Amino acid sequence: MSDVVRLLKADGTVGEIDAKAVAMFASLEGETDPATLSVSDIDADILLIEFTGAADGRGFSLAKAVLGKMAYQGKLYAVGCINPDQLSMALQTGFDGVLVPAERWADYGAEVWKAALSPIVKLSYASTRSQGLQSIWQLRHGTQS
Amino acid sequence: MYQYDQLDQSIVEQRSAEFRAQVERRLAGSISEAEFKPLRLMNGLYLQLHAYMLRVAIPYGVLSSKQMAKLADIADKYDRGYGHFTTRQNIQFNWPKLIETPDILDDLAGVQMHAIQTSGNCIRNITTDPFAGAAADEEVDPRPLCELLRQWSTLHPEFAYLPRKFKFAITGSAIDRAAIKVHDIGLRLRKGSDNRPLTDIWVGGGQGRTPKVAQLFKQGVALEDLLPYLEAIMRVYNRYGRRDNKYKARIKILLAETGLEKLQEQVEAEFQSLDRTPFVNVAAELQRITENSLTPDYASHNESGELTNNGSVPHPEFDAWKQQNVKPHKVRGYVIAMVSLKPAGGIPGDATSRQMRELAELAVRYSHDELRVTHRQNLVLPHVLERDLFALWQALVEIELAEDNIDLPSDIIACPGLDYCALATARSIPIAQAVSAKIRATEKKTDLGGISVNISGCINACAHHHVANIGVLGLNKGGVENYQLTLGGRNDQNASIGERLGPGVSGDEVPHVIERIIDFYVDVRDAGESLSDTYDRVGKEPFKEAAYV
Repeated sequence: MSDVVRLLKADGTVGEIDAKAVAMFASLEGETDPATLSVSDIDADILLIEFTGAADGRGFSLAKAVLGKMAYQGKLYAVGCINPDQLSMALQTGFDGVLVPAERWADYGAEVWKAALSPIVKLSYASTRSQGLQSIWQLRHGTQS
Repeated sequence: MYQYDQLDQSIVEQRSAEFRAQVERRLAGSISEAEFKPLRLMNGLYLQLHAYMLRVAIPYGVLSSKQMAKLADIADKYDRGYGHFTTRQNIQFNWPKLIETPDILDDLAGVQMHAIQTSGNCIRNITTDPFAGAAADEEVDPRPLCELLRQWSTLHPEFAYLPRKFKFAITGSAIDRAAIKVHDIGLRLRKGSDNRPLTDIWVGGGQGRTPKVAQLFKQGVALEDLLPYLEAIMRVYNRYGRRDNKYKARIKILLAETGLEKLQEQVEAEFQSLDRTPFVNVAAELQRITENSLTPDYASHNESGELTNNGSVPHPEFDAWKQQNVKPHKVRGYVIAMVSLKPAGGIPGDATSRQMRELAELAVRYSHDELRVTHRQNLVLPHVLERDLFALWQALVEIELAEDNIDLPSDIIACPGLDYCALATARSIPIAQAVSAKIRATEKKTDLGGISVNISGCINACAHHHVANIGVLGLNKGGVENYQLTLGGRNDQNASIGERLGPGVSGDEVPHVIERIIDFYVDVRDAGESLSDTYDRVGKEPFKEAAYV
């Protein structure tokens, strides 16, 4: 049981991956300075960004840097200390989903994790990469951002 | 003032519904207090010494009459019939029940208000000059930019888990009434050579355990570049700000440890490589905000003014109030009327529900439906016809809000201290009450000019004692309250950190020490010289000798 990791994707699907396989994915710690990264560091079909603390939001900015400046094209998943209430931020900053260890998945329960994919707050002022959210500034001005 | 559209309204209502669901999960026991804490803090809900405390956002300190009346209703319905206005131009309710907080947020949403990001390690309520849009000396009205920053920072997905809280202040006047140099980021709006607004950015100011005056970080930033530049600063801070020690986590420490030049280089590199597409709508949005903001129709406002005092009848109490509490307005015939929440011996910043309700009515009658909150915990009626002043003053007397002590020593900023706050090490409210009761008589017979007295109940400096002309810091030494005094601080365009005067004193001694300091200042000052200027001229020792008799 504890060797299985749940993959909750932005499209609502839930998969299971062996923890040993997850350990083989390319991975960056959330505190990584994007300025120190080269393209070879993110040359992978699947890239993980690890959140090392529940109150540490550096992984969100790192995701934007990897997807923006470094033009990463593969799948980007959040792992580590990330909880359902932070899932909306992860999706807005471009993550494709979150990898959750079985124990953490059980702590919150599948319903709470899945519900977090459809957050009650469905608006954001600035642009958003999340399909479930709308940018207020874009809605007001009709310009793609 | 800015008016919500349906989208602004929706996001506030959705956030309220989200918080209701989080509270329900907590009450059902499905999340622990440890898990709930960051969620409630992001909505301004603290657990204090005796009860929960809800901090409600008053963006850049601007309130409509309807909003003020709703705050009065909330004080009656969910609290104990009063509210406490804060140094971040917000209001706090000290006794709400957890189960009722979602209802409070719904009530607030009904009048375009919320509690979003009034706590937590995120970008807090944007503050500004309480005279914005009305001040006679204003170069650029900062309110549209304040609203733009409010929107940009609201629920920003990258900046909800910063190393520490983050505070912005903006001024559009050369005279700084927003204390921008003691904020994480202070913005000074001014007009460029082609009359277009430019912004000077000050970074790294702050108080707490390590008080710092901000440094000039970047001059003359055009409005179209401002948001991307601020986003670059926030990213660099988020990335490099310390997370190993909460007392060293503010950007002032990052600036001190990194150095100004290197931090500027890091921000510039981030700015140059930043994806600008999220900001393509900023200019249009700023324009929309300006167009969606109600501007007082000065020409057609209430012409009644039936109870004017045109000078034919002497009225010394009214004259004293007008002299002290009324400031010049940019429109001829109008003035800015300040309402002191510092009655002699009273609790600084508190207003009863009756007072709030009456003030809402007075704003309808005399101030184009608008009020402001100041960082000195007072209120402002920003657009009053000069000929209505006497009637306004009479109405304020009726509700015991006509204290004529704005900017005088009894106009004290005090934090909640040990009476409410879980972090406090000493009482501050009773000290403020004793000080104001003692020095009010001196104020009335001597022209003291502007003297600020700020009293904090712990080293976190919520009452801004470091930048007061006379600062008081309450500590606990061996189980006994002990109060340190600082002199020479100021929070204006010449901001400086006060210097510790000498050994701490007991709470009972504080009013006497302050009185002796003021008496000494009056004795030695040159004509027109402020207390801080006198302190700079004569130095610490003479003041110390006078204070510690």
